[in-house]
Amino acid sequence: MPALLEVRGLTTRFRSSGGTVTAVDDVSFDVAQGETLAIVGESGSGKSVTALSILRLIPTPPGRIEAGQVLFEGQDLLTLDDAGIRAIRGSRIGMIFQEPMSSLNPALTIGLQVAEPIVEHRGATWRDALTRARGLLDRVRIPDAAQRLAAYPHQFSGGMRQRVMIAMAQACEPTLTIADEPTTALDVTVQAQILDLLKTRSEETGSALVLITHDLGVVARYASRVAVMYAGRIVEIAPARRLYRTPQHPYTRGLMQSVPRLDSDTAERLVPIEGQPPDLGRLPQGCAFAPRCRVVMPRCRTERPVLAQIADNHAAACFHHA
Amino acid sequence: MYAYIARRIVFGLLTVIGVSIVIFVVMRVLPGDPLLAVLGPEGLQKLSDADRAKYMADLGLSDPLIVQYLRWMRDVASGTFGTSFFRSESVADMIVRRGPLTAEIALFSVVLSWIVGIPVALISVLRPNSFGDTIARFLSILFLAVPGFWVGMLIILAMLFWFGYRPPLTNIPFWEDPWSNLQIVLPPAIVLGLGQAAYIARMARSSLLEVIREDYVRTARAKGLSGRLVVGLHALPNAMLPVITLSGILMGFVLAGSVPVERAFATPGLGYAMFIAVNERDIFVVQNLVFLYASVFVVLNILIDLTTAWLDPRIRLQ
Repeated sequence: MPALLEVRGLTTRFRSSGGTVTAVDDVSFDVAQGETLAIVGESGSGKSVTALSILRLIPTPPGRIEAGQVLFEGQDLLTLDDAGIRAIRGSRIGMIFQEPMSSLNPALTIGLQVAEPIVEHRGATWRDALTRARGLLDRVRIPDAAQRLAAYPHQFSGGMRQRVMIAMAQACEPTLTIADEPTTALDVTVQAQILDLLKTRSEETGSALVLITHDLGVVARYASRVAVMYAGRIVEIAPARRLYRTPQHPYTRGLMQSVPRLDSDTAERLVPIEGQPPDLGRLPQGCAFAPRCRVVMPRCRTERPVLAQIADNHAAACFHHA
Repeated sequence: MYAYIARRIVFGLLTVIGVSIVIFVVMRVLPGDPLLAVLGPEGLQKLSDADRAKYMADLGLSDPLIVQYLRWMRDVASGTFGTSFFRSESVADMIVRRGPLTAEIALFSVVLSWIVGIPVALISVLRPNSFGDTIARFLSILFLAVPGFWVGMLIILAMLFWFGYRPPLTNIPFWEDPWSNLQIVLPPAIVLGLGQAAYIARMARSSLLEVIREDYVRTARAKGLSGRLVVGLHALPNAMLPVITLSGILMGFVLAGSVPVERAFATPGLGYAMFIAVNERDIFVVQNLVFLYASVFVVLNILIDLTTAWLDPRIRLQ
């Protein structure tokens, strides 16, 4: 199947008074039609910036996409003009953000905000768009959708707002939905509901899903493939099952060992990853993970490993597999 | 919302009463004998003690202060506001005759400050640090720094030399002769408006720059809306709340500015009347006009607070 989204060598830098920081460093990955790719990493690993770079939503300045291609349905989003990228945003790529509390406009009604992309992209009248918005709210299981159209975001709970965000992002039935940590700000009890909903809605609309998260539990349950990011680079990418069974990069292995497992018989000890996430402004010369790595070799401190294929669909950036 | 309105009105009333006491006390404490202004220095010297007492009693100035204050409040409540020392006209008549002109100047100046200030802020925000932004910021600082009456003098001189500007010096109501009325009203309104526009532009610029960084503005962009819709529909309404509030506070600037600016343009409005009354130590007129200005300021700010509260659904729907 041809890839829906091909990201090639994406590099995004932020300039600040302290110097230039490479938040996303030569990142490449594919997303096939209808599949769910999870991008996993700690805060500061560049996963959110990757998501924002795809739709060119990086605040510029200070941020800038300096290199790479983002081929969506064969078209490079990075070279489109302003009108071109706007025709993609909200129409063929929907985006869901991390903070449902602040991502909806407090001064506008829910109905207006959900109907807006339909009016913008489909040229619908407001009346038709609002009728469709009601159906969309129904489908994300918001009770009393007809009345809720006239409500304002402050009258909704966090979970309800995230449902509204899902309805809004998928109002135009996009072929790709990017969800940037959609459940981080929510109660644990609501998280599963929202992710289930996101997954179901994506399947219903046939949308591929890029799920950005730091939660490996989420990945296991919802993603078919996983990309692990560290210090702005993808260090390992593999089908989800394979990654769980045979993680190859020491960082991925560290992540797996630091998550409690409920299904194992023996009482395994959790093993934390030692040290701190790296300062992107002062990365070591070699592998960015070298200072925290348990199996570090002299070569790792001077040379930077590239992402290399180690099996079908499985690649890792580590000299142990080169 | 109703509780909020009631609370604001009660606090407003208390403020007005407090203001009236302050004005009253200040007017009694200020140096200057009112009879000096009526009779002149020579007349005052020739005045016998008995005549002096009689004059003071006639003016009601020999009663205990509390009686004088209550009598004033009674005049205010009855709507006559007492009478001038020199003119037969009551202060109420003076307000009715001269007030519309000053109100017009204030209204036009506020409208002008928005018409000029908001687009200037939009230029700054849509193209930050561009040439237009730099110019806009330079001009707004310039107009913040320069006093209104001086700009007024420049405008008078410029219009006099280039256009032979000679405004009518009498009070012409708008409905009788709009063109002559505007000739009187517009120049002072422009002076006061530009001064306010500088504040409005700076506030709108910083408020917009803040709002544009909000998550919901990014959401709007992620929906594929045009820059104009993102700013106009999603950012501007939220950014306008502090600007509206500032506009209310700037009413103080307009009211205080009306005195020197109307003086500079010889506009027959309340500001000029205040200037004359102060010069003549016509304390009833000064006291009443200051009280009127203060009350107008308080009432307008209550209205503005209610407006901004109403514009914010989080408060409106409480």
